[in-house]
Amino acid sequence: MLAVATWEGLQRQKHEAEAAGADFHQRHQQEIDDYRDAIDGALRLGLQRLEAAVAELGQGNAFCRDLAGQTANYVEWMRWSLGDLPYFAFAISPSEEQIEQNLPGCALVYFAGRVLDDFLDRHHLYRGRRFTLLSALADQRGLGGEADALTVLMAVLLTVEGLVQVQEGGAAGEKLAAQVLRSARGLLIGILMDRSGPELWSLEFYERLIEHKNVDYWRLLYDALDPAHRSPLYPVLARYYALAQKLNDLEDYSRDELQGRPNIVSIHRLVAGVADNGAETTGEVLHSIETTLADEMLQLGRQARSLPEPARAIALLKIGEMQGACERIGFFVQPAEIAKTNGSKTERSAAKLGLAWHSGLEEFVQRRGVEALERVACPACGGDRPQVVFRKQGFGFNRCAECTHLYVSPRLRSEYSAQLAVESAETAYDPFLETQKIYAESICRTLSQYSTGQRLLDLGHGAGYLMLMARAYGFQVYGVDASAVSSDALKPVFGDRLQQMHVDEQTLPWGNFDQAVMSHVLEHMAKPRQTLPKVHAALNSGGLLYVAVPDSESLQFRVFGKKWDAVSPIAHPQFFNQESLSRLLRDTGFEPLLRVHSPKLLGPERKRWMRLFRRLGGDESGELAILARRVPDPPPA
Amino acid sequence: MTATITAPARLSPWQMEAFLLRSLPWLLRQQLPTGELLCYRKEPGRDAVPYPYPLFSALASEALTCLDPRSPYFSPRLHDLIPASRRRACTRVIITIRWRIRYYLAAEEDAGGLWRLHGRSGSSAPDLATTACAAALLLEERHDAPARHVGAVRRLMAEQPGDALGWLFGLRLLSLAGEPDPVSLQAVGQLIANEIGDPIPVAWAMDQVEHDGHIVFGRAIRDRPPSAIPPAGSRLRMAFAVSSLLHRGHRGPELDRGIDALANDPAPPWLLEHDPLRHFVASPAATLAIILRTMAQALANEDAGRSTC
Repeated sequence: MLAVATWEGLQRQKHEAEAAGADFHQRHQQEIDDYRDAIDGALRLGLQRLEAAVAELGQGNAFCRDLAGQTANYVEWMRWSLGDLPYFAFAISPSEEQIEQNLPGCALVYFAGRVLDDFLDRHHLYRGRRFTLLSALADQRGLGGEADALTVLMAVLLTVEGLVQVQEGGAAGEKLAAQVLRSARGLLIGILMDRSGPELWSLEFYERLIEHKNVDYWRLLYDALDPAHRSPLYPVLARYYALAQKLNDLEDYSRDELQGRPNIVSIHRLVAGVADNGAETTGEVLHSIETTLADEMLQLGRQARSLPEPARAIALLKIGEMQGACERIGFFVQPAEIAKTNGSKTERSAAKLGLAWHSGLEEFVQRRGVEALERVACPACGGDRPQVVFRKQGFGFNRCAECTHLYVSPRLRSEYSAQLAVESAETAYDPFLETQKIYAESICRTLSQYSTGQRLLDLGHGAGYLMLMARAYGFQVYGVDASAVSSDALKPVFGDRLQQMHVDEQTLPWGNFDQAVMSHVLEHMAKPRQTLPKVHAALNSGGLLYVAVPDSESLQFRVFGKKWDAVSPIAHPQFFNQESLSRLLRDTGFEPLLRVHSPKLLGPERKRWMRLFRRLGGDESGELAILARRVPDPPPA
Repeated sequence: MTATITAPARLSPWQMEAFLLRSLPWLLRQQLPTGELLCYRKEPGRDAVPYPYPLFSALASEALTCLDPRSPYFSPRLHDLIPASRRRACTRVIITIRWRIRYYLAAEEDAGGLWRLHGRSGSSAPDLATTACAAALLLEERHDAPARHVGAVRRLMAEQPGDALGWLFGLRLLSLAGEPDPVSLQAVGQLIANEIGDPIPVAWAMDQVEHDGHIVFGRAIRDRPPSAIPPAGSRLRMAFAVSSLLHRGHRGPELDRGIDALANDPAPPWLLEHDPLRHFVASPAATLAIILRTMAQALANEDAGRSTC
């Protein structure tokens, strides 16, 4: 726990940073958007030049072009990691020519580092969201040396192409290329240092490691905007990125320790001469590091405040974001003395899980013990006659002998899956949310056809495609979602008609709806028998409920079995079929009206496999969608 | 002495007629039950989604004055291009669209006479351009502007000093409300001189200020925006640029090509590419309305070209 004065200082700093950030965004959002466009454009230009060079030098060789295309595609997806650059560009004010000249090359070298990191850390799925270049190559060439070699070659090619592009900028370009080479050399040495054993670790080693692996890596990008390091923002940012890595280490220490990699916690423990990993010792070390980092954060804040505008506002904005992230993962919490006075909770929130949706049962048990799991009866009918059908990621899928529902038991406790959801939302955007847009219009049409009123509640709105479409259809739309990120993104349009909440744990804040939509929500719920009555209560008598879930009798499941991506024991502990879903609906006061079939996709989105699935009697989505009606209330006696 | 000035752009009546007849029913279908015109937001790498953006509804309503016989900006030439048997129906469509937009914007007004960027029900920030355009539209049927609208515009002008488009619309509202502001005019001149904001829409907005607000910008400022037609791709920017050139009295084959591209583009409105003005948001309906107004302007220019002096 921090000292009261330190905590208060951090709070003041956070509020100041929030105010500066809000003011900055209000005034300069347009300019930031413009810089973001320019930076995206520059990256695309760099990738186009890469692809053109490969096509020209390889004389149109299809293999080389395909590899370059896949690499460009992956790098373009990763462009979100340039999210801070528009802010720095605003402070530095580089000319458009400078961005166009310097950034494409520098960004390619920067992304080469990402590709290399995927190879070294064996990332096949980027934070559980997107297949990496390594994974795509392993798919084509098989797991093994060739895919690895191609990945490294593509990283080298990105670096070389980046340097060529930078050098094309004349004398200034040559100077910048030398700088980029120095930063790249530092990064490579940092990566090597990261692989060294604990006998070589020390506090100096750690500082040097961060300087190379993180600050040099950041410089690869920064130099494109400010090659001479003239901006007053530069020293603050160099310090900021070192501190950010330390905080990141604090978050990920359990994973790093499992992998035997240097981490701030392990190194401090080593330096303190503590050999065991006992909880008590770890707690003390964590406390000491937290205090040191809080002081560093305050010093950084002071340095930021002394900057001229707009560097000051941008530095404070970044510091505020970092402080907010620390609080979300349970660091810099309110000291007990203050909490006692205020009567608030001081418990440190659970340390970050550091796992992903594809993690195995053993990994959860390793991190959180067997208490992370719970055994459950059939969540659809309450029956307790399960039969294990198959296993995935170590979790058993059981079929209920009474209602044929498929469910996971023992399963991950809901608080851990909720934590995993929060952590995943923080790290990357979920591309599966994008698939919602395909059916949003079809759902609106179905509801328009059967509904008698305009009030619509979207439970689990995700990216909000359905809400936005339903609004365009003239519905009065309300929405709830467990993710704060999703909720915040839609606030500018829906304001108070959105609520961030867990439907299975909390009561719905509104009522009297004419229809509710639960599209791909019920399969995530731990206790659907407790959730549906809440929806029932929120609907008017005779109100409609549209439920869509992955279908355990779909063609996809019959063909791919447990390899179907909808079969996920952590994300989807339930796996319904028409019988089990209808029974659940009837038990909770609904009357299934009809099964809604997925509309055929048309146009360029319609792929060959989709036509094949239709011909075989299935559809593209493999979903089971039912339109049910709340059983009308009996007339008053 | 009598001289005839060459007509700048020749619009073939049958092409214009086809354009009008396929556009107007589609325009009506683009209006939501609330009265707003459909807008779409498309962030890089994502698909377009319907997204509320009241500014486009206001701009479209203003642009459609060219086909509203009750408006001083009504264009009889454009109206005459509609076959006689369809004129009444078309006029009804335009009047309906416009009064529904007016009711929509009136319902979107937030406390203090402000309009928010994405509508009243959300938490988006109040927006100067939206506020100024919506207030100007509501002013159409009144003689005086409510003090709250003028106050709101003045407040937002002070809060959003870098928004060139917003300032121009703000300036126009102040002028329409009978409160022309030389200080603001000077500030706008400075913004334009410093090339803040997208120059093509800014030049177009400047014309609106001159046209509706009866304010004349200095030559130094008027000549700054680019006078060239943008490359094909953005029909909205093309319409803005053509309109600006017509307003400034330009002539020449480049302008003819621009008008031709707008009137004879083979892509029907529902296949228009995403053509954002600000914040990744575009409205095909508003784009179409602005194209229609530009057509009316071109026709008026043809008339002027045939006149003798």
